[in-house]
Amino acid sequence: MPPVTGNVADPHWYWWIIFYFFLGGIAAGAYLIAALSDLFADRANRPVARIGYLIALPLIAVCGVLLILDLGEPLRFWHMLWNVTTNRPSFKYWSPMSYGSWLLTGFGICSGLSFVLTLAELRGITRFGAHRLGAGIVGKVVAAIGALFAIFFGSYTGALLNATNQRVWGDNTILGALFIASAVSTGIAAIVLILALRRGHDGLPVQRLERADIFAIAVEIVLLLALVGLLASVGRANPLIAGSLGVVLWGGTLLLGLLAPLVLYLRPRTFGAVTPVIAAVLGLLGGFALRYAIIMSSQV
Amino acid sequence: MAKGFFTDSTLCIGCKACEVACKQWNRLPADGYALSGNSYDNTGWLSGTTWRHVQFVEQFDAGQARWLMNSDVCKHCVQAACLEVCPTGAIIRTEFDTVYIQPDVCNGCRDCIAACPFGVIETNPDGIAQKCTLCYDRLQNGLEPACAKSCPTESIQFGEVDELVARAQARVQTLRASANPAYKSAYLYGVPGDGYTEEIGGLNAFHLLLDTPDKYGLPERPKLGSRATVPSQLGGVLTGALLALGAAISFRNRGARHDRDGGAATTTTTTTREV
Repeated sequence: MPPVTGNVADPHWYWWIIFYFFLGGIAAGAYLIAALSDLFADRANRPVARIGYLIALPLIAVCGVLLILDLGEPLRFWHMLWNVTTNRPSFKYWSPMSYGSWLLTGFGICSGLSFVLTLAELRGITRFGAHRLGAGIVGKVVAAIGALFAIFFGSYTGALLNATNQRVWGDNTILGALFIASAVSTGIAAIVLILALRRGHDGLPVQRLERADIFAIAVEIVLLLALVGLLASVGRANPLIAGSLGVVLWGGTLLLGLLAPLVLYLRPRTFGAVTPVIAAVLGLLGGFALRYAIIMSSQV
Repeated sequence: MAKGFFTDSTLCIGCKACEVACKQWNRLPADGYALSGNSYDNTGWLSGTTWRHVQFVEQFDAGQARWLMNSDVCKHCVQAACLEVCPTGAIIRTEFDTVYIQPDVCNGCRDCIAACPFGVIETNPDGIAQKCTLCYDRLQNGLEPACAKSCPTESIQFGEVDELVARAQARVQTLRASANPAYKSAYLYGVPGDGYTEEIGGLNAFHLLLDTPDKYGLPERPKLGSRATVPSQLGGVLTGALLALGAAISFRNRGARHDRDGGAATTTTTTTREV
């Protein structure tokens, strides 16, 4: 595949979008982990599901605000879902920006439902048996549908960048895979952070999350190196791996954000009781560095 | 019937009448008076408020110098990457087969800017994406676009695309047969079979050029964004499913292993097997 060339204009997707990609990734990852915990783990893991659901909705709400603020005409945000020319829903399955708007909507609805069910459970609201719905079949159905949305939502942002003619972004097709790996990893890190701060680090749920994160980090490292290799094969790696962005990518993402948490997970006594907290914070920073480096690589 | 431009760069004298006529008709604001230092080109690039851009390419080779001029514009691609990704439906294909951004529909998401392989689109001061309309309003009233109307050398020709291509091909033959060696390299960029624009089906606004596309800032292989949508999204979903499987297996663990101080080697082995 020859690299994309020519004098392309950059879309000026800067801080709003970098934070959207980062926070949206955490929301998708945290929700996915919560749903999997709901569907496959025992009761010991219930706190994981609750935390995941409780952080997904606020994050996705922030994401919506960020996206609207980024628009040149913010009050026309609903044009994403409704085509005012044809007066029909606006949906293009081949355009990530278009179907992504629907994914955000669907994922937002699932996050909202899971959030409400979790609140009912925590507050012990007994009307209609609401406090038991979350852990029951209703909660599981919502979780299964929401998990599917989370996987698509957590990866469409990569497809969005790939489906362009910009250098770096348009020179590969694996950002969808890389971004969902980063989403899962940062989602786990967010839950570990809250869990470890609230309950100490030694619980079984934290151990399970660390194991899941070790796998996610390993996959992410492979994908990150594959991305650099693919870009190098068409002579387009430099915008991403050289200069200050290279420092962000190699130092921020690979070293501090991926390798350091990996080592800390495998040697959990390195910094005493706060080791999981440090690993989680580094993981989150690494996820942010990844989104920053990739988004800026085609716009500097 | 597709309408378009045939821009013959060999006839361009760099007068910028097209730029001015475009700004006048479309009531586009001036871009300031910055001196670029790049030949006679103070316009710089196409943007949300500049829809024609006269390029001045100075070339010096072994004591010989030449000055290539070319009036760049939206290509009104047969398969347009901007129109393809536009999530609001603001970008439409008109009855003239031109690509038009409806200013009252666009919400300024800027996906079209990222998608356009030619760097044609940018936002205007109102925050919405804009570019050459091929004078949609003039066409609807039976007039030719302002730039073509104003061009004193007929470097910019407007008409039916089929007729323009036939005329352009004849022009290429004439140039190549001429005594001037500079014209031997004349070719068309943006017509069927040109070896450059197949992936987007050719251009309704095409160019006659003398040097390779990159000298004019044009891409060798303009592509559609959608080429990457399925591979990237599918890769993402499969990776997500794999990670979900890994997490689910981690969560099935009953916690038999509580030895947190078991040492790295033990932990690694266990982890690998369980994942």
